[in-house]
Parts: sequence; structure tokens; C-alpha cells
Amino acid sequence: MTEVNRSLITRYFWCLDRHDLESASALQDPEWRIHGLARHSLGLEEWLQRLDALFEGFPDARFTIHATVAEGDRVAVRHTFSGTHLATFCDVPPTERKVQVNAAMVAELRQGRIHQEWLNADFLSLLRQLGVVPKPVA
Amino acid sequence: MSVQTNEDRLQRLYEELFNAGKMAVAHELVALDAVDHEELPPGISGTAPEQLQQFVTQLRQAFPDLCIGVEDMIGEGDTVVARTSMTGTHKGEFMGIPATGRAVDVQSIDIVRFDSQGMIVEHWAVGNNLGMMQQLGALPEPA
Repeated sequence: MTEVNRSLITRYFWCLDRHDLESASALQDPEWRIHGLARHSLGLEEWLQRLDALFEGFPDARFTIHATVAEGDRVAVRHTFSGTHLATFCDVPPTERKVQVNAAMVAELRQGRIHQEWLNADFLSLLRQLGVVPKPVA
Repeated sequence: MSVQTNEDRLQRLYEELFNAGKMAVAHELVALDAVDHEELPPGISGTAPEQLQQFVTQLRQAFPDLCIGVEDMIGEGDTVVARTSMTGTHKGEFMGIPATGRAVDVQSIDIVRFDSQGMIVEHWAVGNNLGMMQQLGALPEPA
């Protein structure tokens, strides 16, 4: 079961990596929600809006899996987001900077589909890499 | 060591070292040459357990009522992933921000690799750093 789950999550990331949101969302169940992107959990529509904005700001956006840990009905993924800031993103005009952001997520699967996700991404680092937030003084 | 044992040991790290401030626990659970892939605050030095002790000391000075709660653990082979929430009141300087008295509540995902003796040898973490800064008022929240 853990291998089936791991394969599904790997495929999910492969769809995101290709910006194929239709195929990615087909792997989610109807009640799917994602925690960690806002104070409240997001459903499919809000998540799609955010990803559209991300792909607009970073047209070459990539998602790369570094490690997966699977147990029972959960799969954890350590991954990175990378891309070039070529269009306005979160009101920040394009800087043309290349960014790489560490991230980790835990997915809970139910009946062969992703039921919910918890995502952490180093958005503070992203803002620093874009020059929006000053880097810490050593 | 079994996954269950590693999960129990990680639980101890949070409960005894982080939450209760029992510094000796760092040497019980963390290998001397453990690798931490996450950047520690400047000025921290020594072996891995010593560095962790210094980090926890700083964190507990900043948030004296620090509490790390484990929401879920996923273990496989030599690795345990913990989904955690950290709460605390900002009563001491933290990352250059003087005490604000504000309460924080941030989520994190820790990834911890153990050796065959159950010692922690490698660590990665991704936490809601931005959320932390926003909750402390250091950065604006989105409209």
C-alpha cells in the first residue's frame, strides 16, 4: 500500500512539475483541502488560483522531489520549488532572479486519492531571494 | 532501531528538550556528528548536540512557554517525519526582533534520520518562517 501511495504522490508532483493542473487535481478526492498556504485551509479553486499566479510569475517553475517517506495512509515529501521570476508575482514586479525554495508536504490518502495535504514552504526565503525582504545580517 | 522506537525518541526530543528544557537529552538522542541541513542562528558552535542545546536555549529564552506539539508522525526505514505546531509567547529577543509579547502558532515539518543505535544523524526542516515573522509583526500579513 505504501508503494501505491508513494507512486501516486510521485505522479502528482510530476503533473505539477509539468504545470498539468487538470491531471494533478484528478488525483485529489472531492473533499480535498490543503493546509499551510493561508490561515485557513484551501480547497481546489483557491489552490488553482494560487498555482496559476505562481506559474504566471515563474513560467519555468519546477517541482523536484528529494525524498519521500511513506507510512500507512500518509506520504511525506521533501521537495524544492525553483523558477525564474519573469512576471509580477504577489505584487512584486519581475526581478528576473532565479529562486529555489525548500518545501515539505504531508499527504493523507483515502481510497486511492489525496484527501488532504499539509504544506510548508520557505516563503520567507523566497521573499529574500526576490529582494523584497532583507537578508539577515550575519 | 524500529520505526516506533525512532518515533518515540523524536517525541522525547520535543517533549523533554524543547518543551521541558532538559538539556542533557540532546546528548542522549543526537549523534556528535549529526548533520543539520537547516541554518542555525549565528554564534552557535560545537558538536551537533551542543549546537542543538544552544539553539533550544535561545528559543526558550525567546519563548519561555514554548511548546512543540506533534500532530502526526510518518516513519519509514531510518527516517521519521514529524508534522508539528510550535506555540509560545514572544518574551525575549528572537532573530533580532525585541520581545513583542505576541503569541505565535506556527506549523513545521521536521525530517529526521536515525542510525541503527537510534541516534539522530541528519535533520531537515521546513517551517512557517514567514508566518512567524508576520505573527510577530515584523512583516505585514497579506491583505
